[in-house]
Amino acid sequence: MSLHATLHINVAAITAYSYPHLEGLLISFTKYITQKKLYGTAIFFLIVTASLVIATYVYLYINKKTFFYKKRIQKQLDTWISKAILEEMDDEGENMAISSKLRRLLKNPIARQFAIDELIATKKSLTGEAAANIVKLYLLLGLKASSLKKIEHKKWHLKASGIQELYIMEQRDMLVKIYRQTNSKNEFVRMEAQTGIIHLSGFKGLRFLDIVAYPIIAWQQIKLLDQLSQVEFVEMKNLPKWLKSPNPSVVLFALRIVETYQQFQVHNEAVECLTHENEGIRIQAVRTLASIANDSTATILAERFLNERFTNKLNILDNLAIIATPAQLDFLLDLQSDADDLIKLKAAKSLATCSPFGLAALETMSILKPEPYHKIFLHIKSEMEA
Amino acid sequence: MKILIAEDEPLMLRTLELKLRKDGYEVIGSPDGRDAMLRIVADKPDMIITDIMLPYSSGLEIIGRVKEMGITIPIIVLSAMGQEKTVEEAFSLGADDYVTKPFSLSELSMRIKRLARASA
Repeated sequence: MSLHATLHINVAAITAYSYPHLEGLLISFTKYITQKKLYGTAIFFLIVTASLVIATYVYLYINKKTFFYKKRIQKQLDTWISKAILEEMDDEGENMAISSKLRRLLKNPIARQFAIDELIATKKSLTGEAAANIVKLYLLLGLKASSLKKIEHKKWHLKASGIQELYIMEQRDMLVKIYRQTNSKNEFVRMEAQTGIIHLSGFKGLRFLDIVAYPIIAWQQIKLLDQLSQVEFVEMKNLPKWLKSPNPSVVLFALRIVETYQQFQVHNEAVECLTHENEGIRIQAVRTLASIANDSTATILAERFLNERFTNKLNILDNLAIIATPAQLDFLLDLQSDADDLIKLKAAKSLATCSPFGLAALETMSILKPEPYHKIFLHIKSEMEA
Repeated sequence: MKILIAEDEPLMLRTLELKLRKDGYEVIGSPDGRDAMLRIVADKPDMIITDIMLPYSSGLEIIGRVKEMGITIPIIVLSAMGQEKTVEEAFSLGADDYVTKPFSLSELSMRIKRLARASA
């Protein structure tokens, strides 16, 4: 009896017993599977499996070869470069001898990229003469050409990495090329270019805020502020312009700059941001104004309170606790009849700090109406004592 | 004087090794925390310079284990900017000094000399 016939009988018998309604269907299916088809399928799967095994092997082999090639390059390059870093070079580094072997090695793109990566990683860790020598080596080995090629490349990740290489290697003559990328439609290229421009020209680099049309994400803003904190402060003439930018993220970033560097001269422009349609900007404007407050700021914030949403109402009260004056006494006392207990509590905090009568007023209220003012009074008192 | 440097950036490690050798020290280089621990036990260095972020065992773990073993040699930590909390932790574990990256090689040399004098 053939394999096909045996299979047919066995499957049909089992199906007829367990699933009587599927019997007909399975019988026609087993008739369809011929011995030839079974062998064909088996050979097909065998070929697929063998191809997968071969592809995996080739992939691992190439990876292994690249790994050992990189190790070999590393050994040759690291020894030469580390010696060169510690050498006393002339201005152009021309007194450094580059062996023909090294020149040959650096013709290979893998070796060139490897050398750039190593130099970049080391440059980030060193300052002084050693760092200057790294830059000289970068130029001497002709690696700048590779970075320039990358910056012109269509692939965004190569473009971004080219920008990074150029600014870490302090290539100030590339400022214009990098500046052009600060408004790139690719987020990563844009971020790298903005970082680069600040790295190379400090506060003056903020001129990219004049042209940037795409959003500057929160993380990038934090990164840029951190970078700015490491360079010498320079007055920013375009701050008023940035505070009125059609790009909301530029306005937000400018407000953060005003807050960090206490730019009192743009108080009026910051006040205008209190009515911006973007809530994030309004919240930041309140914080910024608290940091550059003048005699009128607390009154302006109190006037703005009623038109605000709950989150920004709380934000205004938090900041009034820092800048409120006796002029806000009535406003804050009125808020003690607000329906929301959190508003009452935050207003009470501002009340206690804005005037010597504030705490006394709260105490009187706690006696007249113990629920909820007694708890609020005790809370504020304990906070003030702490 | 024998100095152990634990640093995972190969070129940085090689540069530091060369610099300290030029300054007249005997230098042991370690590319990761596990190797550094083995070298500390086997080669008994007189000073350790360690990066905080290292593969396998961090610089903090190295300091902790060295102090656990009762080894009283000076330790300099190489930290990155913004790692103030980690540096504090390193000091509480027993580190003696720290250098923030990026640093100049001459600054590191001066700190090594100062610590060597203090521990002599």
